[in-house]
Amino acid sequence: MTSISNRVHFSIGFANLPSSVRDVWDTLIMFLIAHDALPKNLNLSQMVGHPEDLKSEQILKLPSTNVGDLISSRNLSGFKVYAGKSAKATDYYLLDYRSSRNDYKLGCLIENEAKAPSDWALFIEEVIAKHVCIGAWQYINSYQFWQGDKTGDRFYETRWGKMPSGYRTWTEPFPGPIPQPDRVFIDISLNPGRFKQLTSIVSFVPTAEMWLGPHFWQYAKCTKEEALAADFFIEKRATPHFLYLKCWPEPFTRPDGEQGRMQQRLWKLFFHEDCEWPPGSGTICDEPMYGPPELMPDPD
Amino acid sequence: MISLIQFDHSAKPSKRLYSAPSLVLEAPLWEIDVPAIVDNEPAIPHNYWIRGLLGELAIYKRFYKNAGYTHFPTAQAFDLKSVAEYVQIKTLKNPDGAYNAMKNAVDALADLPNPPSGLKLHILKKPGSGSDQLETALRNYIDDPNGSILGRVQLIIQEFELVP
Repeated sequence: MTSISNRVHFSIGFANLPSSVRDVWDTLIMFLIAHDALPKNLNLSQMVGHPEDLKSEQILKLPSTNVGDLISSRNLSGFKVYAGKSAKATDYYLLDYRSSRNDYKLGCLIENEAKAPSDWALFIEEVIAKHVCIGAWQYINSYQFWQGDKTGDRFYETRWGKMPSGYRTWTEPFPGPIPQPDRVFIDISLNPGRFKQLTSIVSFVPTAEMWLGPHFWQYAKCTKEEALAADFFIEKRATPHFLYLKCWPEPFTRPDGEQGRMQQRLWKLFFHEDCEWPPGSGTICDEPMYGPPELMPDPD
Repeated sequence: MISLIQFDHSAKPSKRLYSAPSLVLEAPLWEIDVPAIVDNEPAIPHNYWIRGLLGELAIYKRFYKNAGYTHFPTAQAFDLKSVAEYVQIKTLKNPDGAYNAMKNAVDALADLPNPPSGLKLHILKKPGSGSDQLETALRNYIDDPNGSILGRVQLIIQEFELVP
């Protein structure tokens, strides 16, 4: 069984299917090989990216080095592979959104004890230099999950500890004919680390490092030039393929204090939206409040 | 034990099967994989399939049929379908040992082309079996706001017997 991963995850959003899924795959496995993190065998979904006549619930187990040839021979429009179990599990995927098929996401799930890189920057830049993107982000999974978690039922406290008292909550009936308790949700719309859905599958993530591609600016409330002019980034790099922005030395782990105020600046710049922490306070508090122990700052 | 001859894996169940209470509803659902070895061969794969089909039929008749769902026993990744949702039914004797299989079921459901707005994994578990670990792990997987499921799959885990 797994607890929520606190590893560094990446997410890359595309407005169109990358011109070569095989190339995206090859870039991924070369990066994993370079970090001694390519599993010997992989389990491949025969649903994701497969044409209708080849779709199957059966998971295909094959040597990692054979996946590329299968992607080519089946002309896949995406992939999802799995390796390992429980705390050593990894998933890598290039998903389309099944109902719209006009946006795609490359992402991962890396459990706490899995062998995987802790910095995806070089991989991200190699992919988005070749395949036009909306944007790319890397972040500590547990922090962004906590901040984006809308679950208002008993699982909130199972995951994150005490729920802040200021959250607005609402309920929705559980769909279908089986009698079930109503679903409970919390309003996270002012959380500093929340996500913003840009397309059906691609979300903006307010991260310490981000790569904003040509397709990002149609969703933003500011221009690329205004972003370049902002004075709070510690590193900015404009390339023909993306604008790289870094505003904090490490991935964010807190919605309060200076980290919370930095995320607030990102929201104000890109979307003219505000933040608060704790919920209902109308401000960003100085001292760390709420969240799981592993995301609390060291006492030193 | 129930004979495999009664079931044709490729056939669509007839209307008669859906209305045959003595055949379907009185089978010992959680004893189907006893014994585990038949004629020196593991009987588990066949038995899982029979157990799954019986569970599907029973829960379909009990709840879903009158709500307008249709049964698709040979479809990939889902078993029941309505205008509003696809439902995958799974029967589990030991839920807490089935995380990887259920994660695969969630993935397959979420990866169906052109789905309706609702997707549901409905797990029927053996009465008295533990499922807290499975439910926690699956909900963590489903609810991740930047994962691959994005909260799109609903989860039900309930104890189940063929005879209510």
